[in-house]
Amino acid sequence: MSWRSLRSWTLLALPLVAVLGACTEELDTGASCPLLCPGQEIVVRDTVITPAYVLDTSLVGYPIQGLEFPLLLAARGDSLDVRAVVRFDTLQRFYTPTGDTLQPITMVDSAFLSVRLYSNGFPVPPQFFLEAFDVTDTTLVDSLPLTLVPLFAPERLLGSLRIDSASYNDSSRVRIELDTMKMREIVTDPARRLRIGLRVRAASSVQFKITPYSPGGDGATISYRVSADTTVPRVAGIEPSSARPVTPVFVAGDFVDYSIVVNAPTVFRPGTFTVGGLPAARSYLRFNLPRWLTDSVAVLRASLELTQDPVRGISDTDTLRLLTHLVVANGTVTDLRRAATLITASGLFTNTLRLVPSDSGVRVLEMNGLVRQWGLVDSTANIPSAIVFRTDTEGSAPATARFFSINSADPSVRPRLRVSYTPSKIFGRP
Amino acid sequence: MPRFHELRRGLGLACTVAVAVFAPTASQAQGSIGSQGFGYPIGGLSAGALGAAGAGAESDPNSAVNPAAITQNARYTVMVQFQPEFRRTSLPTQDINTTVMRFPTFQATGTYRRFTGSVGVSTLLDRSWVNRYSDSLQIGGEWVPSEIQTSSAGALSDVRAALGYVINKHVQVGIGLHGFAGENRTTFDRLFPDTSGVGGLSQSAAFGFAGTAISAGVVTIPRDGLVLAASVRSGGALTLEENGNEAGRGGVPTRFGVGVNWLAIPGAAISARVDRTLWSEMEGLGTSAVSIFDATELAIGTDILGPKIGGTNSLVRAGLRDRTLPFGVNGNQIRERAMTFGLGLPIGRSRGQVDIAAQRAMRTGAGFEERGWFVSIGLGIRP
Repeated sequence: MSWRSLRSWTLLALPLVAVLGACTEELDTGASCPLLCPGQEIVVRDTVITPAYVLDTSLVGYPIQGLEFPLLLAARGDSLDVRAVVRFDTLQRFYTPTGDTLQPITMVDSAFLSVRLYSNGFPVPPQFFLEAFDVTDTTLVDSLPLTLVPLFAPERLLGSLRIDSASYNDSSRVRIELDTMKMREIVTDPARRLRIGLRVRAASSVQFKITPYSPGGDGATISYRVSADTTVPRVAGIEPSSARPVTPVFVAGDFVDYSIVVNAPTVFRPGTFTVGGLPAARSYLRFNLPRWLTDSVAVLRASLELTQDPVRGISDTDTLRLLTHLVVANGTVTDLRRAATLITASGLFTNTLRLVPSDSGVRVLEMNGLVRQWGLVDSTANIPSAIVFRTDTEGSAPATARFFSINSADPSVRPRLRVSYTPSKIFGRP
Repeated sequence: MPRFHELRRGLGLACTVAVAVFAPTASQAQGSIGSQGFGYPIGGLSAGALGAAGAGAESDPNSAVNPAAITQNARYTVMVQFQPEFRRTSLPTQDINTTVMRFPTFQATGTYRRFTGSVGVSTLLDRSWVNRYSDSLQIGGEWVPSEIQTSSAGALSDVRAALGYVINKHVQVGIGLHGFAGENRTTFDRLFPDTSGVGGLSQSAAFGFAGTAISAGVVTIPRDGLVLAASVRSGGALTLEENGNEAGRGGVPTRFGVGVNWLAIPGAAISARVDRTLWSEMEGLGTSAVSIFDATELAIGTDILGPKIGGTNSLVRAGLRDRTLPFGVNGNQIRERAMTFGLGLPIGRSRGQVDIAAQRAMRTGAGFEERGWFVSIGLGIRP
């Protein structure tokens, strides 16, 4: 063998042997551990932190007006009355007759409002009415929807649709014929806005939901004819719009459609905090965990034990999902109601609880992921360790969950944080 | 003086070898009784020496033991070694088979007149392994199943620069400067089922070693057919850094040994060696959980001339080795006994040498038993 060929074989053989060798490695030790694997055991310690946190409070008024999805219409006796407002601040007021040029609309006929109506599992009464009112009053403050309630008056009724349960097709679009004379007045007056208040009514409890506006979506629309000439197309599918308030900019869009909770049961009680209901509440919980817990140990399990206080009344047997959100607002946001909107998506670092309002007992929220995240936050940064609870049907269902707070008179029902942890340095150095 | 193209050729080969040596291939399971503590002591023996159980290592120029022995090498020599281990660990309930890949030794030597210099890297302690197993933990009063995966990658290596001097044909001496360096990258993952609500643990750490030592040795040939050799290594401080911060401080283990080669009959040499390493000087480097023992190694072996290949004699080797390992199990020291066999095959008109050794090793201690086959393949090039 020549030196040249020897060198060639050497160059080839070395990486080949290395690769082949690596491919044949068998690493699984099976049962030899932990007998022969010292230093890999961990010592788990359990502790209960009381109080579990330093602040809990219920914050009312969610979702922010105009962000309800879907919109609730309910009339459940004296217990619950929820209505909706849909704004049509921009209407088509001109048309082009056949063979002519653009003309102002002078005639309106066959106007109707179309909405998608669905029961969402609530029993449909034998007969119910869906009513549309002209609740236009641009002098009122946009952010105070209850000021519109007096405008749901008979003299302002634009139209009413009677629906029998036998003919009702769930989740279909329904048409409410609108008063021709009133609609003509509105359309032919360029300064006139149209804001329609929707109310559902029945001899017994009734509750429906309608799809709110979204661009190109499935929200309410208005249609009307503008000429006796049938060759002139109908003005169809006018989508909701809002021109007010003018300032702040971009806020007007939030007022395109929204709910009005005229009447709802009170679900608040001293010594508790509440989630859900109407108007919906969120709960804000602020933690001040001991530094050793976030800095010096590895948390395996952190369980927040909450004692549920039963809420009896409407929808008290419905199931709701309690969503947990991590608050990302820093300490400069001192308005807790605003802080409770600066949150992560739900389900990050924690689980979701399914609750029935009338139930009671201890509910466990696993939050070790949250505790670990808080451990990663720069301790010199002014970022409170806080979470927010809300329901998955926030603003569109009356179901409520209530829990005893840290201020409860009975210490046995106050929230507790059970933590299992292990020293953070556990492995590596023999 | 070496010609330029020879030097270039040698450097090119050395680079190739270095890439193969330091390629990240080695991993073995800690779940063996031989890989406790800071790892398995490889020994710094060449495949040629291992064929005879390391009995001739004190006078073997390719073993990183005696710096005086490098004078036995040809003018220029590059040596690299591949050493897989096929191991079976016996437990009361079952046997576990693992396969380990190692590239434990690399050395290049050159001679100028009576001086021989060498630089080389050998693995002192190999701590590369992966464990995967499952158990249950009691968390918050509830038993929760978990999966554990731990790993360590890396080794403590002995980087030696040695200089040997031929006083006369009967006496050679040498000194070595050692830098001990290396890294262990460890990971620890303990995972729990998603439904348990228990968060997993995942930790990693990087441990770095730094230490120095000096060694000296002598090889004497008092009369034809008899070679006596002895060497000693004395260490300074050895520090362990964890993620850049000093985590422990000990000493580089002192080692001393003597060996004898006797050409008892023409064509057959008998060798014996005694070696003692004071591993306990590493105490302070680890935690109190690690048990460290000084270790003694006894070896006896023979090298017999085999059939000629390409005009050069091959070698057939065999030997027995008995040693203790430095890191114990549950406070018990581990004993390793090995039977070895080897072949030395010249190639390229004696410009290369392939040494192949097979060891059948048995480790016992703390009620456990472990058997393994080591195969060592050493390639020496003499350009």
